[in-house]
This record gives sequence, structure tokens and C-alpha cells, in this order.
Amino acid sequence: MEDNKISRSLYENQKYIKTTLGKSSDIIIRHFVIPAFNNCKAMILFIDGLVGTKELDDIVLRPLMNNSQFLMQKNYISSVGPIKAVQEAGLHASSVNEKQQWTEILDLVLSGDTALFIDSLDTAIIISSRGWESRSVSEPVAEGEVRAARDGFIENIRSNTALIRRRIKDYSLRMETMKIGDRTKTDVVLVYIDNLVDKGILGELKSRLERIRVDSILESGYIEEFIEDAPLSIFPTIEHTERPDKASAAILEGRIVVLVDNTPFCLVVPTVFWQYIQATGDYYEKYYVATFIRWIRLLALFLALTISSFYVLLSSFHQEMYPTLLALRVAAGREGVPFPSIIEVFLMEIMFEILREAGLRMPQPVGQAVSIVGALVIGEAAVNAGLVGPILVVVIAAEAISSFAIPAYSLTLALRLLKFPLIILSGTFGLLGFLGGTVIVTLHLLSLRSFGAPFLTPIDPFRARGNKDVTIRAPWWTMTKRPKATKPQDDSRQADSKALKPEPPPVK
Amino acid sequence: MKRFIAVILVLNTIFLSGCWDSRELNELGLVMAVGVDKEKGGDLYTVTAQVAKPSSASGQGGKSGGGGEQPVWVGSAQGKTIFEAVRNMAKFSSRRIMWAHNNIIIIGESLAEEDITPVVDFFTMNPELRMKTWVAVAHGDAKPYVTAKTGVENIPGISMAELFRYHELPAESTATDMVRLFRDFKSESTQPLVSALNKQNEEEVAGAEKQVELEGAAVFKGTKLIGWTSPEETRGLAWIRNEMGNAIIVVQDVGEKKQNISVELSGTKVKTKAQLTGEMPSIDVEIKTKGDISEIDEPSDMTIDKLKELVKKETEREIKKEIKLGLDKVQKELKSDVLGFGRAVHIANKDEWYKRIENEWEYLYPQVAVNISVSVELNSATLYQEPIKIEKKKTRG
Repeated sequence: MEDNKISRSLYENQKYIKTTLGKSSDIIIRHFVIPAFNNCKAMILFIDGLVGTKELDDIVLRPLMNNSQFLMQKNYISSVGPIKAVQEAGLHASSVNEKQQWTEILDLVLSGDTALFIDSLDTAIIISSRGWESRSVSEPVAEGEVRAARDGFIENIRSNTALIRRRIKDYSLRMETMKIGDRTKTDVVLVYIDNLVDKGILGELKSRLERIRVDSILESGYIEEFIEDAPLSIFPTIEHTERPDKASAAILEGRIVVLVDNTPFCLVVPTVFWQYIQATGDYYEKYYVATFIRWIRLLALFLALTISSFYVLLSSFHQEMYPTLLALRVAAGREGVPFPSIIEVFLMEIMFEILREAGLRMPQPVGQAVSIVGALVIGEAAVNAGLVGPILVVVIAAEAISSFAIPAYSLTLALRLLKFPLIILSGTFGLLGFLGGTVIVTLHLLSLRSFGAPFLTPIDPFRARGNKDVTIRAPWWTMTKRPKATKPQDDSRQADSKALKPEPPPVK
Repeated sequence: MKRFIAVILVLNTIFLSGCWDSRELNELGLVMAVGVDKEKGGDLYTVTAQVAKPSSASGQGGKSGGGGEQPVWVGSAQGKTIFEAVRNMAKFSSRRIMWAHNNIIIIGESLAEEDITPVVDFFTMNPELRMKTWVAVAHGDAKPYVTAKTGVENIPGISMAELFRYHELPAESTATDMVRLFRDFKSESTQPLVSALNKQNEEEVAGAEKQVELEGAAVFKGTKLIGWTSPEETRGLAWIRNEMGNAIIVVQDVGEKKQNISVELSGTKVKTKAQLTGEMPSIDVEIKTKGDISEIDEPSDMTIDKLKELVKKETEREIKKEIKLGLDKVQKELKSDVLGFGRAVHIANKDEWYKRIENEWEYLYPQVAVNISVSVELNSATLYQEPIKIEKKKTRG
């Protein structure tokens, strides 16, 4: 599309619009006359559905078409010219703009604004009138918490920026907008605090975003894949969240949040691995409990990844590692099972994966029934039929529950996939294969970086300060510094911990 | 395509070669107890293995249940060596024998009298076997002990192993595992003392199944069994070997009322030291222990201090008597240095040991003087309170 200026002729403009946008039913062109300009012809262009039509009547049509008020400004009109006059005295809209380029005008119209064309003027006036139907702010579905704010991001990026702005009233909070996607022209907003964020990381992020030349961005997942440090890694190196409080906390630590239009999920950069086992609620509950729960999550992470391969290697290679009575139990359970344990485990794992996927896809009323039937089939029937041992059902159940205990769904997905190579290695090489597999995974994790931050920091490289928020959740009054991984410009977060620690009043 | 096939072949060689030693748990026969026998003068070893049947042993897979089925399967095979006998077991055993969960190794009396070297050799060289497996010598053949139905546990082998765990309560035997036997067996200055298994007598059981009991000990000299110690003698040895956990000593006929008093001893410390005075080494055994008076049958007229003093003396005398009993048996009668006196001498005077005593120890040992000093410390809170029996008598009378 060549970069044309609009014409002075209303007819030409209308023809241009008809040829570029075609005969879509939702494109509305409304002609009218403006009495104040001696019944000069004018038209407005907008997309039905993106614009609140009722509002449009009030802010554009009524003031311009109604004789009385705008007519009285005749002197003013002649002194500043029609364009300025319409903006300053005519329209009742809160946000107006002059545009002359067709591309700019059409982009804005397609985003929900309204363009006003007046005959014999080569400038269009853009009136902000975005007002489409959107879901109201509701509780985040994928990241539930017991004690935390109940609002979550929605598909409307304006509401999302507002949700952050309501939490951080800092003068230096910046929201930079970019458009990505040739056809979708999706709004992408970088949110950060200007005097906190590391300019290097910010520049890197911007340059990576500018590199993206695609026709469409439909979800933040697209962007995530285009800007990752390790595109081939199985682990997600960019965290996403739909919680405004989590996003705000990240911004306040000197991270950058990438909001994408039409999705409630925003990206957080840079990300370190441990963010995946930190949940928002940790910071609102007592720190003893939060620390304990974090360790439980860590345990769940290991169980989700390794417990099934451990079962395989114990029952087909290292039977001596079972305590005697347990060995008898497992052997008794496996009595008559026709498969070697690696096949047995694969059978159950695959069944469980299918069940998990089915539960996700099923329409809600059916889903309940299916998961109950599925669980019964897998657990009870498979054991009774002698296809698997009862101990394995316990193992798989423990693994499944563990995988749900990890707050970050994206990490769960990675573990779900990783356990299969581990099972194969354990089933063919025993403990040696298992160790080899876990060592490879660990080495891979160590090699990862997210926008310059080592993925496993502050555990490795070890940072004592950062561990206040990883191995434990230290009380808030001791967390005086921001984490080093984000290289914040301003290190200190709050006053000294001595001053902050609450104390009872002195006894009189 | 060629490359694809090459990759598949390479992966296959890698992954399939890993499976060579893979065995499923339910294809293994987990040995719970094993007995080794050899007839006097014969040259065939008999290995008897008690293999758990998991489905009936752990009460699972309930269909077969009903309690009728045996939780174990016993197989017995012969061979010119122990290893061959074990291999021969595969002729009729549907599962591969796995030793890792073995609880106890029982050595038959006639084999022990001949030579236990093959047993120690086989069971320490086998990488599957744990060195913490209990070892015992049976009175008579080992086979009936392996086949016996004994104990509360489902699996007799586990029942027998549990005996070793609680042997310290009566302290009338000793608990030897393979590590200990191996160490003493290899040692030049200590002889092995191995737990002994016995079957209850007819009159003890009265019709019920004869139970296996852990009682007394087998005394070895070199590689051969040379004799047994009775439970009482073993108790004496346990003092010096420091295997007394919570010993109960009953002192009888104390004071003018001839009371029977039980003393519970704990926290026993034993020091065995050797001295060399001139040609002849001598051994000092110093035993320090603490105790409580836990039972008195009659109220005493004596003051507490006096009674304590009396009980203390009696207890010390009693302990000495017990030790003497055991010591006389092994030192004077069997002439086997199971208490490690030679080792003490070795430690005390290395030069003399290598120069002279090592060769003569065989003759010196029975003559070595052993000085036993026992000191008991009584802290008796129990005394301040009158025993319930006495209170009852008082209210009645």
C-alpha cells in the first residue's frame, strides 16, 4: 500500500476507502452536513462493533450537526481555520488528532477510532472512540491464589495497562507501544520503570522485538518464541503471567513486562528458573509457610520429573535398592503383569497424558464425567485386569499430583516431555542412564540465559542476597535489595531492615 | 534414507545393549534365608534357599489367599562347590535366584566343623549379597532351619533376622553379620564367635510348631567350629564384647530378709587392656556400668544407703561370676581367643608381639591372667517409692 495523502475531495476519499477496504459490511461511512461551515459536506468513517455508536452520536454528530452551538463560534472559526475550530470548538471528544496519511488513518480506524473527513480539507480528524465489547476483569483462571488480588488481565490491552498503572503510581513508569505483525498490527506495550530498568536489557528487548517481521501476532506466545535466548531449549526462558500484581512486582524489581493486545498473558523479562516455583501468594502469606511451601514445590518438581523413571530403574535393574518388604510388595503387585516395567510405565504415562488432554478439551459438562471414568479405568481397572501393578498407579498418581503443584504451567509442560527420555534411559541403562539423563538436563539448565541473566541464578552463580527470595522467602523487612539478575539501576528497595522490623512499643 | 537407517541402527546398538542385565522384579526369586550343609566326610554341598512368594507373602493379589498358601518356597540343590549347588538350583527354580534381600545365612554344624572357608568366600565375593546379612551356625543341619515355619512374621527368614535385632535384651547370644565374621575370620589375633541357632525342645512347644531360637554361640578356632557356649556362658562373653544393652541382673538373698532384687543396668563401658610383665602378658578388663534397682520383693528395714551399698556389691559380684563362667569356657576349655585378647596384646606391645608372642600365643592364651574389675553405680529413684506389692500387703494387713 503506497503512502498516499488524502484528497481534498470528499468523493475521491470515499472512492479510495471503497477500493482499499472493500465492501465489508462492518465499515460504515456516514455523510452529513455541517451548518457552521455553510452546510459543507462531511463524512465519518468507522468500523461498526469497534465503536460505541451511541457515544459517537453524542461526541461527533450532535455537536456538528446541531446548529445552535457551533454556529455561534463563527468568528473563532474564521480566525483559526476550520480544522482547529472543529477540534477545539466543535467536537465533544476527549482525544482528537489530525492525520493526513491514508495508512495512518486507516490503521487507526481499524483499531476502533473514527475518522472525520470534511469536503475541501486535506486533513482528517481522528476521534478516539474505541468502545467494543470485551470481557470484564475477572479472576485469573490459570493462576489462582488464596490470598491475593482477584483481578486478572483481560484481552483488552488498555484495561491491562490500567491495571498496572493502578498499582504503580510512579512518575517513571513507562509504557512504550509498538505495532508488530503486518496484517494483525497487534499492539505490544513494554512496561517498565525508567530509572530502575537496565538500559542494556531494555535496548536488547526492543531490538529483538523490532526484528520480528511476521504477518500476525495472535498471542504473546508468538512473541515469546521470536525473542527467546535459547529457541531450541525445552525449557521456557520467558515467564508469562495473567496476574497484574505479579507483573507489577516484576516491574518493581527492574524487569520489563511485555503486554500484548488480545491476550490476558503478558511476558516478563528477564526470567530466572526459580520464578517458576514462586507463586504470588508466597509474598502475602507468612514467610515460614511460604518457605515451606516453596520447598514442597521443589520436591514436587523433582518427583514430577523423576519418580516414574526411578520406579523403572529400581524394578528392572536395582532391585537390591528396595527395602525388602517394599520389594516384596512391588513384586507381588507385578505378579502376572505381562510387560517389563518400562512398557508398563509407558502404558500408564501415555494413558494419563491422553486423559489429561481429553479433560482439557472436553466440553465442561462432559469433561467431569470423562475424567472420573478415565481415572477409574486407569487406576482400578488396569490393576484388576493385571495390566499394571498397583504400586505403579501410586507412582503415576504421585507424579501427576506433583506436576500440578508447580505454579508455572509452562514448566510443567517441559517436565512432562522430559520425563519420557529419562524413562527410556532408566529402562535401558538403569541408574547409570538415569544419572546421565539428569546430568544432561542440569548442564543444559546451567547453560541457559534469559536476556543476559544466568537461568539458575542466584543458586548458580550463587548470590547470597538473591537467595533471600529463592531458598527461603525472607520476611519483607529484610528484603532491602532488589535481585541482581535484573541489574537494576537502583539497588535498594526499601529502608534498612533494622528500621523496618516491627517492634512492640517500649514498656512503661 | 540411508542416514535415517544409520541413525536408527546406532541408537539401537546403544539402547538395546543397555538392556542386557535388566531383570524384572517379578522374575526374580528373592532369597529370604539360605542354609549351607555338607555331610561329614562327604564332598557335596547342599544349599537350601528360602525364596519368598511375593503374592502370598505380602498378602496381596488376594484371589489365591485364604491363608492356605505358603508364603515361601524352599528349594535345595547339591553341588561340588557352593556355587555349583546354587547353579543347580536353576534346574527346578522358575525364577532367577537373587541374593540381595537375603536376611540370614545358616551354616550347618558338620560343615562348620570341617571348614567354613568356602562359605565365607562365596558369600563375601558375591556382589549381590549384602555384608550386613546375619550369619548363624545351626545345631545339626542347616536345612531344617531354613524350612522351618517359625516366628510371627509372614516370612520365616525375616522372623529369624528379627531375632538378631533383639538379641541384646536377654543377651544370651551374639549377633554376627557377615562383616563381623569376615573380619574375625581374616584376623590373626581374634577368633570368630558366631551366633548359634537352636530349635525348641518338644516339651517347650507342646504340640505346636517348633520355633527357631537364637541361643548361645558357636566358637571357632581358625576355620573350624570347635565348640558351643551355653546361653549363660555367652552372656558372660557379652560383657567383655560390650554387647550388653539393657542387662538385668537378679541378686538373690540380699540382707537378713533374703530379698530378691532386680537391677537394670545400662550405659555399660568396657575397656580391655593388655599388660606385659616380664614374659607373660596379662589382661585387664574394666567394666563400668550404671543401674537402677527396678524390683524388690520385700520391704527392707535397712537404710537406703546401706541397701544400695549391699546391692552394688552383690551386683558386681554377680557380673564377675557371669564373666568368669564364659571366660573359663573359651579360655580354659575351648582355648579359642574369641574375645580378642591377642589383639589387645598386639596393640599394647607391638614389638614384643611380632618378635615372640605371636608364635607362642596359641600356648600362652589359656594361661593368661585376666583381671576383671567391675564397678556399678546405682542411682535408684525407685527405692524412695515403695513397690506396689508392698503397699498392697500393708493395706491388707
